[in-house]
Amino acid sequence: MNTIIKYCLAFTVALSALCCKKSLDLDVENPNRIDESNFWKTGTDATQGINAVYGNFYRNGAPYSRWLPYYMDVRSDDGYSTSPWNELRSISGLNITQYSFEVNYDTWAHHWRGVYRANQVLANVPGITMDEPLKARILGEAKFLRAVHYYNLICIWGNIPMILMPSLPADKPSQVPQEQVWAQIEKDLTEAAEALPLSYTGEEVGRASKGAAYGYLARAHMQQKEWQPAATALAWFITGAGATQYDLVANYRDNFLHTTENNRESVFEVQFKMRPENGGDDGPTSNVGSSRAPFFAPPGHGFNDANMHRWVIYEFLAETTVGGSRDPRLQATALYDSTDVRGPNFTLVYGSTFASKNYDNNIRNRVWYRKYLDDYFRVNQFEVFNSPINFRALRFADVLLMYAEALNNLNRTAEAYVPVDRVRQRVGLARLSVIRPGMTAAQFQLQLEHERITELTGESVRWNDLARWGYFENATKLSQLRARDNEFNNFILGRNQFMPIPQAEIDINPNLRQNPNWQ
Amino acid sequence: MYKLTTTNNQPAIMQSNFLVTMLKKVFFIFCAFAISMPSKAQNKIITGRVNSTANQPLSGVSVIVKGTNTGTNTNANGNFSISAATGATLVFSYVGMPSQEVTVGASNTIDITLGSATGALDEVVVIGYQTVRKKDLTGAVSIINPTTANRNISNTIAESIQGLTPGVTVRNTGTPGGAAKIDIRGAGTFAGNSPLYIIDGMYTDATPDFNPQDVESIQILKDASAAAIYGSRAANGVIIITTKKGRQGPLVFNGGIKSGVQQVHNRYDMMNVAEYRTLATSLYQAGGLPVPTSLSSEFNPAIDTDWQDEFLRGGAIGEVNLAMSGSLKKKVNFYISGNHFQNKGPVIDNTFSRSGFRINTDTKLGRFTIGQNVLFSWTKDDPIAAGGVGVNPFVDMITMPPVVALQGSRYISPENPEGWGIGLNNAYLSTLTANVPALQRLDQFEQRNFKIRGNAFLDFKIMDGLVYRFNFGIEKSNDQGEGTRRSGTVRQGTPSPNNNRLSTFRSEGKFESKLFEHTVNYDKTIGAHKIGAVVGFSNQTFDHPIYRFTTIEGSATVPDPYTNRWNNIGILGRLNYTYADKYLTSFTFRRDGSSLFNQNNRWGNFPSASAAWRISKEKFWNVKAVNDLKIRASYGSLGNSEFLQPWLYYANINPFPRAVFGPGEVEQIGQIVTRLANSDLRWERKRTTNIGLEASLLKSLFTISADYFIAKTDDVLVDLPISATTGNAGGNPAVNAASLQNKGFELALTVRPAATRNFRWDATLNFTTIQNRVNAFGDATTKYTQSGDARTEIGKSIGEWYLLKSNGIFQSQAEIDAHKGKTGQVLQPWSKPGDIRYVDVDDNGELDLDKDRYYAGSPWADFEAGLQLNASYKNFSINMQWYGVVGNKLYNRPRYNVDRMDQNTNFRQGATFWTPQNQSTEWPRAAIGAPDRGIQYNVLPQSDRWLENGSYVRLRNLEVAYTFSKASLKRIGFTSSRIFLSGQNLFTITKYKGLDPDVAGVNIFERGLDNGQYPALRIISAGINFGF
Repeated sequence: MNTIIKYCLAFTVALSALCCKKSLDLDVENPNRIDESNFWKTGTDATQGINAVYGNFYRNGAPYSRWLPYYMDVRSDDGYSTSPWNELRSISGLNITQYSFEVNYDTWAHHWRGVYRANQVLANVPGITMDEPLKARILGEAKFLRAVHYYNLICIWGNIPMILMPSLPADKPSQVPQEQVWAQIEKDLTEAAEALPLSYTGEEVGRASKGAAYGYLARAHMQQKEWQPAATALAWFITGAGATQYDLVANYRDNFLHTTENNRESVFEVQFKMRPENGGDDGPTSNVGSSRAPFFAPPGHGFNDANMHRWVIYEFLAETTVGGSRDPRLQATALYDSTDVRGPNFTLVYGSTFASKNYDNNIRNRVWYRKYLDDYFRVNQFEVFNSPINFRALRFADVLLMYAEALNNLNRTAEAYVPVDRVRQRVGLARLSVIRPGMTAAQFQLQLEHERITELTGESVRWNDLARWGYFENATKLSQLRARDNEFNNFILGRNQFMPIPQAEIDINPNLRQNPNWQ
Repeated sequence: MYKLTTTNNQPAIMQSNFLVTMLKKVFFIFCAFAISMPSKAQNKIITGRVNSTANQPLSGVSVIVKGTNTGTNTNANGNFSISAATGATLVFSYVGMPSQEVTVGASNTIDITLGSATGALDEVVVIGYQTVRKKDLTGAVSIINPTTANRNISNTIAESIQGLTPGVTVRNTGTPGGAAKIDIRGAGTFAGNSPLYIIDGMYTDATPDFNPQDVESIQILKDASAAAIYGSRAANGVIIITTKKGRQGPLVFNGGIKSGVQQVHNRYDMMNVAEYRTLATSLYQAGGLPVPTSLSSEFNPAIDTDWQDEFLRGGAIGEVNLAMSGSLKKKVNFYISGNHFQNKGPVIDNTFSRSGFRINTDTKLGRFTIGQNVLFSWTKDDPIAAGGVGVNPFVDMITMPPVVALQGSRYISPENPEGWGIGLNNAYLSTLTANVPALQRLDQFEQRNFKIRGNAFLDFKIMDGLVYRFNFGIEKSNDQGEGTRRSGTVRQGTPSPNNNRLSTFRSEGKFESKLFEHTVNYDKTIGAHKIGAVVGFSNQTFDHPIYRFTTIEGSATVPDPYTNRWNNIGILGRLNYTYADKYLTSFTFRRDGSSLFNQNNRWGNFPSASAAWRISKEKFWNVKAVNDLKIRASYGSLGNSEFLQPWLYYANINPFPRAVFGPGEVEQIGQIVTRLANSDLRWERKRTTNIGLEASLLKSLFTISADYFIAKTDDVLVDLPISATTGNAGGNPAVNAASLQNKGFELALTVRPAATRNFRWDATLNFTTIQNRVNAFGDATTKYTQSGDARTEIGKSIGEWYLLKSNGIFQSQAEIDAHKGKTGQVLQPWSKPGDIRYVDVDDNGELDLDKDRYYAGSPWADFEAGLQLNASYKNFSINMQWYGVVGNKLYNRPRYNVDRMDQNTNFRQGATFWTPQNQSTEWPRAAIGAPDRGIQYNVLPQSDRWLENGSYVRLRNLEVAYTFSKASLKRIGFTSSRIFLSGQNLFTITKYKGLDPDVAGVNIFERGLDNGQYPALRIISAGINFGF
């Protein structure tokens, strides 16, 4: 028995000695992930870092993903919502009471995630020893992407903090004056425009280019009604190096299909791809598709959470092409009983005729935003959260119309005809210089508003257009919106131009103040 | 396509079948063991029975031949059998009662009664690395009688002890296999508030894999001095569980069978289709929306779905136990048990089962004692499916309108091939409620777990009173989840590849924890001086890999294996000193290191001290009525890091972001920090002061134990929400964020009158009141943290409800016009008669959705109390456990969903809405559709309209039992037998309108939120215990 005991003892001691070697070490290596201390060392790290900033585009609240159209299109006078989800409807209804509900919170939060990621690149990449041209490009991309996020943040919420360094958990930033944010956006975009290449080839197509930076720089100036700097930035596309780079595509509808992406009209596109996994976070099943379509599609194919007002259709019908046919853009813009000019028996809704759908009266008269719907290939199917259609965040047509607007505001109305005519001629409309020569600047402005509606409805520019044109500043102009969209009866001057900051944020950060009149 | 059953419960048949099968299996195993174990007595065999003064058989009473290592325990029926020579002394001892000594005489039978003696309390209590006599305790320790705890059918030990001892708050879920939430002395921290479990010396946590019949004793260490030996793991209290051990003597078998039915004891009283149709029609009309044709032209009176009936069913439970104990060649003592528990949940397609097999052995060889305790357990869990956007089963089962059919051809679509009834987003029917009975069928998932947990030890007696122990503990488990999701959406408008295509899911998790401990114990009595000391070294390692694998229609997603690893090291010591049983002191010290912190913050020191004075032993004590009186005081410091995951003190690079570029849509890899980290994480530290009193009055007719404590926790670890402007994603970073304080008073009072020949009774009342308060947030700018509709603010309790204050309903326009703020402005100009009147709480003349909220109530009870009553008359006995909670406020989220009435849901019976013709003071104006601002304000979730009183009193358990007399059992060869009938949660007195007021809450910050949780269940069961 004694031998057994001795063996037991020896075994015990040996075992405990063995275990101690490993278990006594309190520096336990992480086998799963690398950490910040051994990242940002190489050019590959820099590239992967900037890729991760683009990766933020796939989150629901990020720029041009699931929720932004609710702020930019549905909320504006061309859209309305009858969603059974009250809170979602309240964005369009201009009467939100749950400031922290998912959509408003995620849109806010996911924009800041993009800022944080861009800030990491901008703080860490300069110290990396790597290919210098590539480094310069990556920093340019980061500045561009940061500016895009800030552009949306300031347009949606107005009064925001400005964060330019990687965050720490305890940060509780205060808001800064809007001019300061605009100045930073302009600075980032100006520097990006210098650093970024004119174009990309092969598997790099889709990254931010020089034109993208100039285009967003113009947008930033336009929104502040800084017409001369806007015109200067836009002139790069017309008379500068961009002139040979961009053109309108022959077929307007090619701008909204996944088969004709990154074409000559495209200035900046968010690159979407369809694959089965469509998880909502940065994990192994992350979505890289667009999740916008299910919310916009008609009953049977989507949630019918957003509709277009019928007045938009009349804008198109006000004028025919020189050949006497209907403006071809209508068919690309609106899905309704007469998307096909021959009517409900010919209009296809996801492959079946409108007439065959047996919609009741309530549904039959509705109009849906057609751009970025997958109706042309998901025949008789329900929309899924992983649409492959790239979102054209900035098209050359928008550049042309912005240029015209800037020139008109600089009292160069005669010159402003040229870019507008280019946009009209693409779809077969008569030149303005022929049918409406000699407009005053004010007349031309009204004409431009019509042009932007027919060219750009459903592309998340309408809200900012209305803001820039002063519709949110005076009661007379507001009354025009009310006539077109009764949801604007809830619009209160001095309140509704900006969304309320999510209450949860104000609860966490006492330095943040709620936007005026939302308290 | 699939055959559907609307009635699906035949519990009795199912249960009896499996019981028979199980019993056969268990018996087979045991017989195999029994054959190999002869038992030969050297001395004569003494048999007997130990009863309590209430004439209850006492199980687990230790019977030891004095001066030897020979000993046994009484079985479930109080019987024992031991080998002893004539003239030897048997010592009977039992937790909570004075021990007795009986000399073996000529008779071979010794029956005794333990209980009401007035002598010193000599029974021994496990306090961690040491045992002490109960009378020598200087800290706050609760001792639970496992027999009482086992009267409840429970998933976990925690659940079984609800209401049994003061200072321990248990909140239950009825989920089969689900774990209860337990707070020892309130919430000393924001997250990770679960106590440490020490099972036979192994550090572990609460799991549902434990066989309660194996438990010999449960001790709960509540204050710092008691728990300090466990240092950094003990801040939330410690539950020490000791399992049964074998003793020398003849082979003893004990077993039991229990079977019963189980149900959700309460239901929401929802409308039938006719009532729903009337109300919904008028709500649509009020909203100016077309009435759905399912209510008008296409109304089908044949469809009247009771969704609660479709989702719920009669559940059943069954349990069988068999244990065998004895010794092999008088050297190796063993205890072997087998157990099978099966629970068919009260929700369709929801089951849990557990099988356990335990072997405990010990043997003494000269100066060495070697032993081991090990449990093998298998669990199988088929949980409620809740996968999918916005699915909340216990809410959806009441919100789904009765006009929706469970299944029907009109619902068939490519997304819903089986035609489950859902909203159709068209003129016929639109509702966002999920069809949860369908989801239960479509989503088949099963989680299996196999676990080995146990320890092995070696004691070496260096010299008299000095013993070295090596203890090796291990917990190893293997989790496997497997599921299939058939295609089909269960909620209007939630298509996604994941529910439109067949997908399969598989997960594998492994957990391995090893404990290595070296301790030296010293015990010595020199005259009136009694010294007990221990020093030791403890080291535990954890390794926890998880692997998940999903395929969607055959194509696999990217796997993401992840492994957590961490280590702990502790150096510990304690010295107990007692003089003449009058003056008692204890000093404890522990130094702990953890890999969860960075190099600078890794180590923490946790000291404590306590003292007690037995006044009744003083010469001057002449109060005859008080036969024992001890006062005690303690102070100590404990650590906590349970909440942390490994490596949180630095930021990881997230490898998953992707960027798609180029005509080939290549996914380029992105890597970056997405979740922020806090490098300065450090130990959370809790300091507790405890003052206590123990007394025994009127010859122990009454015994009293009372404690007052103040516990302050600093550097509380929590993943406090941080500002989204930081860009943080994937969970908030952990921080040492706050200081908390808990103050409380606990009282336990037992009355045990002298028994008459046939009738005995006793009662124990316990009472707890705890106040918690947030003293500070680490960050000077943080005054509060908000989670949902609850706010945690400095100076207040954790998670108080922070809501708009409603004040009745406007009955006329005049009332609206008259409702003005101090500036004279009408506060709710948008309101119409019938709308809720809100109070301008901050009195600034405007109604503000943020600033006009107030503290509307606390989720914390003013007090809670438990009462146990035991009585017996001849062979009959009755036991009752009552439990009550008073003064807490619950937020009834399920009711919010059906009472808001601006969405197409079913409604509660009696629901109505305000109209000029139907003026109500309870129900405001309502409408489905595009409501105006007044209606929006009527349904604001942040309103005290949804808050309810959560107080309740409950008959937690009632058991009636009959114990067969020995004489009648002899003929069938049994030594004991007892049959019982038991009812759990038989009735509850409460005003709470939800399914059950025993709400576990969502998290610490929303502790009082009933978010549609699995309610505590009613169980009626019968069973038999036997020994042979």
